[in-house]
Amino acid sequence: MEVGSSCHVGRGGNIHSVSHERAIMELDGVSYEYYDRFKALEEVDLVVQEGAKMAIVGANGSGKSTLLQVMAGILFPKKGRVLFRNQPVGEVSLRDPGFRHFFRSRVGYVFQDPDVQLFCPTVMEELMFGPLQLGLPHEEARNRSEEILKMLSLEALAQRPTYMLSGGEKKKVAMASVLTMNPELLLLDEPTNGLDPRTQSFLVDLIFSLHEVGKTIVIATHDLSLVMELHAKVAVLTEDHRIHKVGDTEEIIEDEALLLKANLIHEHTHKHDGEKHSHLHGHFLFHKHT
Amino acid sequence: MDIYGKVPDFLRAPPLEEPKERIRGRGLSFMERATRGLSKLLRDTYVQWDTSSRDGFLQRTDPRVKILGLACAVVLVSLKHTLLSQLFVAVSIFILASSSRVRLSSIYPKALGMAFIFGFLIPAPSCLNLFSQGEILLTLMVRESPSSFLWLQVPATVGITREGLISIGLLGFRIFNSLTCALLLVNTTPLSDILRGLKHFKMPDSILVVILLTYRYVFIFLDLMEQMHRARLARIVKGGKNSETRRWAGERLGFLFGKAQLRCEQTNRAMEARGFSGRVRIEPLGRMGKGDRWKLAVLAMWAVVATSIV
Repeated sequence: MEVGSSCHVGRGGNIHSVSHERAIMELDGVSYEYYDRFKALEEVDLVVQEGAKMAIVGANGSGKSTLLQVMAGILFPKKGRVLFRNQPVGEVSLRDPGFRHFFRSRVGYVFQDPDVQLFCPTVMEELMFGPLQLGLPHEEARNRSEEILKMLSLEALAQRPTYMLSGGEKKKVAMASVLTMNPELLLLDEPTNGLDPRTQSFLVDLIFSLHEVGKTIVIATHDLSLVMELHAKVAVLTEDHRIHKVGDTEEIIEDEALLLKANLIHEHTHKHDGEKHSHLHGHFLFHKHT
Repeated sequence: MDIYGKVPDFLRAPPLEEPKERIRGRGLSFMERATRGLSKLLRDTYVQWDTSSRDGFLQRTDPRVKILGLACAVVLVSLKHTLLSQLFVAVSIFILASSSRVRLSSIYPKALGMAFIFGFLIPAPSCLNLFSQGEILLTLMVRESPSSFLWLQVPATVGITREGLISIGLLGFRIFNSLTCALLLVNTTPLSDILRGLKHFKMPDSILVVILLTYRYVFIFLDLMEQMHRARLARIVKGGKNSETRRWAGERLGFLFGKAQLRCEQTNRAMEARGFSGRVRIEPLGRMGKGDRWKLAVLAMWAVVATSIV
């Protein structure tokens, strides 16, 4: 729940906040099922404020990626509604070229698996794809791409085929391909998953910098150390596919019962000097200030 | 690392305003339709898994009986030359499908569609007396005298013949019956049971492995294809040009091909690492139960009756 905000019961019956700040995206009673059978989201109510940094945390299979894809307008909920800047996002509204331009140019989605996202022959073409879609002149599209490549220290890869990149490079290029469109809302699905510590740290710095220049960031992750590093507003998605709680990082991290319920920490049994004991355990990052 | 200092100016600026002129753009109809088709295929695959595990007449039947039944039906529809015998097979399959808690809508529209294309649309011209002589049922054109066009002799009266209609009806019925029978087997039998049944009938191991992996990986790759389409959709602002769409589809097919090859090599290594030496070892089917032996006897009687129908 947002600090300093009033609350009401949403259509899904969940308590959620109505902040006095400006909401960029709202989900109201959103439910989604795969193949009309497997529940992925159940009556989800969520408000993302403009300029916020939000983390959607949950265990594997809790529906984080589905939630992000619903927010990105690439999956459409069975029930409930999604609003972007107070305008409904759905199959029908996105058929309208005007709204599609408005929405797609403002909302960027980075997939968990960069392989599904990178489809152009070279890195440079991949980066230019978005700006050209927006109708920008070739020169400006190229300038934007070069600036982003420089920011991410990827200049040397400009002409490299995307399938010849390492996992970390692919992730950076996937992120870059969305940034060249200059979206105001960035949806990042497991941004640091499977990356080496240096690349993870680089992406965290990048997320901070993007937030500082005014971007609204929403990430889906099960990595609590990343959440702590980002110091984000946290929405906890439990294994029954519902948003159980929205709060500040400290508030969520201290709520061990909730983290246990959401399968984000677990009970761990081990031995000390032959004596067996159990305690709650989570894989948090070792963090040392120098 | 100081990234903040490197953030380009355009990222600090607000997003682009909408263009003043009206935005023109086509819908995403072609790709949308293609993706919906893929999603439907995935859903159908799921439906197969679901229906094959329900408690119905055919689901309870031993896979060997069902495979023999399919073989019997396919041979019968190929050998019999009368519409009545084909109708008999079609009614039998319908009764079996109805008693097996299978969604008829997952079988019949597909079979009808394929039978329409391959059993009617493509051979439709053959019902005219241009290709074979016969009794004309419906006159389409009357000319003063016969003529010839290339190798074709065009009679004075051109029309649809009884013989032509019967042969098209037979072909359509054969395709329809074969398909409904095969779809019924697939919809009422888990894949593992089909493989065990085929193994029992000495199907070569290489074919079994191909069936197993095809089923598994078609599902995976369809899912991947759908995700790739969504990824593109998330960055498409205007309706894409056809040439761009074709380029994207071609590139993605290449990617899928590469991925399939990589997956194939990895799977092969994983199978070898677990002792696979080219021979499929699966748990054999047990002795057939009394009920299944009865069903086998009924199948044999059915085959005799169907054969005796003129």
